[in-house]
Amino acid sequence: MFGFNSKKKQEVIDKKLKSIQIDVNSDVLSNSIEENSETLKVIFKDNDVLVTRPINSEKKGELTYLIAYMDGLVNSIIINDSIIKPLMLLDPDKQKNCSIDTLVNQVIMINELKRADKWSEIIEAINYGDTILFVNGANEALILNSKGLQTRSISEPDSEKILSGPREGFSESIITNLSMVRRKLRTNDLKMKFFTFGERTKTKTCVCYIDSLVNQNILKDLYKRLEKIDIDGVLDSNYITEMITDCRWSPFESIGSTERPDVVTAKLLEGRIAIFVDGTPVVITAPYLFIENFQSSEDYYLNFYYASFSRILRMLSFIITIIVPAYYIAIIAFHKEMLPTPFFISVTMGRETVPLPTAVEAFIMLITFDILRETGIRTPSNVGQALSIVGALVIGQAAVEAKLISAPIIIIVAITGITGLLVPKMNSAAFIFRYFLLACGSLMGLEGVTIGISIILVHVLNLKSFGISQFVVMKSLHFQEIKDIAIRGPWWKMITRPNTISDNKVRLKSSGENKDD
Amino acid sequence: MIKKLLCLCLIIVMTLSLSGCWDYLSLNDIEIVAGVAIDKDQTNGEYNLSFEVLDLEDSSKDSGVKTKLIDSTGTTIFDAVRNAKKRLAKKLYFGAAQIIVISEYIAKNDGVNSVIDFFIRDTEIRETIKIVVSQEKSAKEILMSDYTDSKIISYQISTIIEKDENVTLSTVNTDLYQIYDTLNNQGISLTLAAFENTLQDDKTITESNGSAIFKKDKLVGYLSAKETEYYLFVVDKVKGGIIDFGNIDDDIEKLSLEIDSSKTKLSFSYVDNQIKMLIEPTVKVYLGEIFGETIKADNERMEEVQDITSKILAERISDVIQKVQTEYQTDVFGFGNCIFKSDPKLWDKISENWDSMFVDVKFEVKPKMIIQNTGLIK
Repeated sequence: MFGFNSKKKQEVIDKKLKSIQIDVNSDVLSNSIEENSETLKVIFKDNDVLVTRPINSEKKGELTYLIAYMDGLVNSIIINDSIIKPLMLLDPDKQKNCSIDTLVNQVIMINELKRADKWSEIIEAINYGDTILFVNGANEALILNSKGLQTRSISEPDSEKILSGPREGFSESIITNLSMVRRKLRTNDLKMKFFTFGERTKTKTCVCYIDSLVNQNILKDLYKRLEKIDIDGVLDSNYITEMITDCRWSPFESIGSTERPDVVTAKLLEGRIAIFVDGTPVVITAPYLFIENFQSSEDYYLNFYYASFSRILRMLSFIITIIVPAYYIAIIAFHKEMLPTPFFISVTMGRETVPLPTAVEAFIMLITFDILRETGIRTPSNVGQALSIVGALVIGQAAVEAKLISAPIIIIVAITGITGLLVPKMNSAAFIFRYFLLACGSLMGLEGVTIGISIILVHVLNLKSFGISQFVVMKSLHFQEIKDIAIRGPWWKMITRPNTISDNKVRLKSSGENKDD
Repeated sequence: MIKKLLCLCLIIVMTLSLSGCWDYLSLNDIEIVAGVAIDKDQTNGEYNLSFEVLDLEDSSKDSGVKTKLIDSTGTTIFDAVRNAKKRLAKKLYFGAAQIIVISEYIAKNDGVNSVIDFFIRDTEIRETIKIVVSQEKSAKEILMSDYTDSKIISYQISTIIEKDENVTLSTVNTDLYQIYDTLNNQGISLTLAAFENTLQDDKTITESNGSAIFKKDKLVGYLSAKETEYYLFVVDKVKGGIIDFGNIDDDIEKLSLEIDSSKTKLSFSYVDNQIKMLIEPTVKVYLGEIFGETIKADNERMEEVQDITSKILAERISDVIQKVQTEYQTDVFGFGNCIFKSDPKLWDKISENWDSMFVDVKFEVKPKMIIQNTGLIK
């Protein structure tokens, strides 16, 4: 609806513009301030947010200056104090034949200003929150920086909470976000290049990297992919992620995303490239290795034994969450002999008088869990309590007591659900492969599950991110190659960067005086 | 492209239907068999099978799993298993069965081979299922006995046999695959666990009662629980338990030693057409119980007790071997197998006459008792 309306509006404006023969893309300003004022009104017709403030000359009463800006996007204190005030306090004699150079150099007190003589530049500047000053007799206008957008304050991102380490998170303003990274990387080596995406949204996007660490081929590849994007609007970084990713149909991520400046900084330091998109706190990073799914920023802030243990738990959870239901069905329905006898008897007792076949039961319960999880995310928080009562009591206890479903399947679903929540970056992969393996297991037993796992493995091993294999094949078991895969090596052992990403390999030149290792 | 996709679909459908593992069997459709008792009608030669089946519908979480017996008859064992379906809505499931009880009559007259054949060929049955000889009139009586600690008699029997070599040393633990192995091996005969019912108060309780001795696959007699203990020393299957020595001299009225570990070395010599077996058990023990003099760790009598008990053990083992040689004439100790393994050429020569030779085989038992500690602090 939104897109349709804006399209229509644009057409109307185009017609009007045609009637007074103005082409916004190429036409320049005229000498006459009245003419410019008329043109501005035509361009921003039906756009009541535009504020124009004429300043007439004292003697003749003719229009001398015209200020134009978008209400809400500007900081009015700046406009009042630094633009209007000096113009009004200007000596009337001086005012009379005041050139634009004098204004720039002696009158206007604005940190960033630009001269413009094209309408296209002026329109863009107004839409971005700048103030335009038209001057009588000049075929140029001044673009004055007066941006004053309301933004959210910096807070800890809800999606990536940690116990220890930096707590700040990105906000929706790209400039704030870039400043947060710049504050951590005080080097001229840090490059930030701006692009604009979206025919209508004109979203500012910044490609950020450390010049001496980045792999130039990957950077070129990224630019090539970004250039090909032509979309009418970009509201979140995921718009770009899905268009520049390598394996477009894969449920696995091939581009990382985070809301934490410390994570982005760490990735830049490993030679990766970050892409900031205005209007979203989510910053994307590339290239992306498979293991990054299991890494957490906290791993690097906690003791390495504990960090390694939690990382292994995360991998284990991912495996458990996709294969446990499948294995349960396969064993119960096809390979009962595999169960130890007492366990077998108690499972059979649980299944007694349950009307549904085990496979159907598992499908229903897994989908029920997914519904509950989704409801939990979508419902307002004050309804959450009712949800948990319904979920835990009705579905958990009552259904088992009424013998509609068996108790073991509840345990299986609970294990699957909890382990699934541990690796949030793999959500889409986890749910797709969970149901896929479950289908394999219900149809063909363990053979089916094995075939299913093989298919997944073949897929995972073929994943690429900007030409780099996501599953890094290790050349040797040398510690430097495996230090940050399944375990998180201690910092004094982290001598090299991930070797497939950056050509500049050494990151730790001296680790202090410990020589005993 | 579409052709390729169609081919792929076809292949998947074919592999789905042609793979031999299409046996989705819901747990609701099975009747779990815990054990089977096999009897034979002596008049018409039909097999009477009794299945101990878990009665899950009648069981609750508090009272535990109850069982029920289901009988069926048939001309062969397979036939009888199939005939049981006439009385049952569900399919009998043998994957969790742990015991097969066979009657004395079948063991003596038909032999074990005729019974185990079906169970070895059937895919569902575990190879570790145990076979027990009933000393009662029928095999069913064993499964009909009252329970002591487990309501499932079959599992109770199976656990008794399994733990035996660690604790009581009164019977033998033989799995189905070992029976098949022994019957097809050279120079060794089969032994199986024997069970009988006894009365305790008003309840009939089944308990292990020594071992059944076989010649080829036919039952020839029994070893008592005590004799079985020394038989186990010869075949090196002792893992724990105690040896009761009784009164060994003036100072010690009664003595029990607890076995820590035991290892038996079996070797032979062939001189003048005469085989002589050498049996050397090394038994590490603790002092378990003593009546009379208290032996301390530093006591000099320790070595003396070691010598005396070694001699007593040697005598008792010899008695058992002699009994088997004279009464049953069957090589349950695997003497022939020992020769076959270490000197196949010699075995080729003597194997034909081994049955008659076994009776005259000379043997020497040289046990070594090592008392590791007295169980008391100095």
